[in-house]
Amino acid sequence: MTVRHRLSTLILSSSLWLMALTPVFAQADPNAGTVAPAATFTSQGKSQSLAAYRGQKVMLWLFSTWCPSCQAGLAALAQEHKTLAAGRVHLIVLENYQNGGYSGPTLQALLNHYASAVKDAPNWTIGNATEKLAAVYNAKAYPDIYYLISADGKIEAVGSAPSASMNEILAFARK
Amino acid sequence: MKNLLLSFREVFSSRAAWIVSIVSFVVFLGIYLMTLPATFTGGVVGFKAFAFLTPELIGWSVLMAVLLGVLMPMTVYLLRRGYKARGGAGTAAGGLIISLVTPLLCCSPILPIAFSFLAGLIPALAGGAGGAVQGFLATHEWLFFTVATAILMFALYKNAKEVVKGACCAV
Repeated sequence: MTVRHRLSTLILSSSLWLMALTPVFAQADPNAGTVAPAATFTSQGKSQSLAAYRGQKVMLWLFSTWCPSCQAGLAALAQEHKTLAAGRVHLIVLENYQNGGYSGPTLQALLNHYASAVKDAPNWTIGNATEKLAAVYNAKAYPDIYYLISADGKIEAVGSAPSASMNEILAFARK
Repeated sequence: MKNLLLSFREVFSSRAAWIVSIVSFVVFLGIYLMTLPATFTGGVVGFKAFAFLTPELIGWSVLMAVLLGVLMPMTVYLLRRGYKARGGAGTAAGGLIISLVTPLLCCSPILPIAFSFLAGLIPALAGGAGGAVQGFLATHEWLFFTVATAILMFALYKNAKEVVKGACCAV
């Protein structure tokens, strides 16, 4: 066995071993079909609880302001706000805890640019994710992740990039 | 520049080279147009990505597809004649990989999953490390496309040199 062959074997077997341990290392975000865990976030300087929205369809969206797909998602949601409002979906739009680890435009600047018409809409709640909420709903620190939560508090779907998955969001609104 | 023109004249003197060039341009243009907007789709590629094309992304796609459209027949020419083409081909592959992987890494789940996996081994990678990398990629995409373009141009220069060198360097 050559040195190169031994090294390749070592790397491959180590990778397979580590991959098998992935469930031990990785914290799973809550899955579709489970009850949305309780958590709080801040909005307009006040602490708010997700539980306060029980009884309504909710789209909980965590995103980072530097992320282009998030900016496109914000614009897409603003464009569909009438359909979402008609479907009685309440959007909770939260900046990721510490903006996902990288600085970007402020949330306000983003809203002014991409969603100025809807930022004060009654079915939109804008805020910031707390560290605890991020640990529960975005443990892997995705640039963006959203949860479609039914009125009875169950997570119906988990996705990202609303601009590319708008059909699923609109289907949720129309239920 | 002189080498480049001489090599173009030599390589594109045959109809087959033009066919390879046009087919390569069309194929790579299609790939780039479907992949570069992954920045806006969270990593989703394909026909869905067309809706997110911007003039800037179209410009980069055309530029890199043109470079690859010229590189491919040159590489085929060199390989057919037994000339040294590994360096140029490898360099071109590097440019292609950088240009395609950048939009996929910046805003898709790939890096967060990789970092959360590695964080089990290296705790310092937990938290915002993955986000910092993705944030940099997302806000400096133009830099990676510039580097990829420069690499493709260098590959073109290398291949042109080999073509002009001629039979003296056949392997």
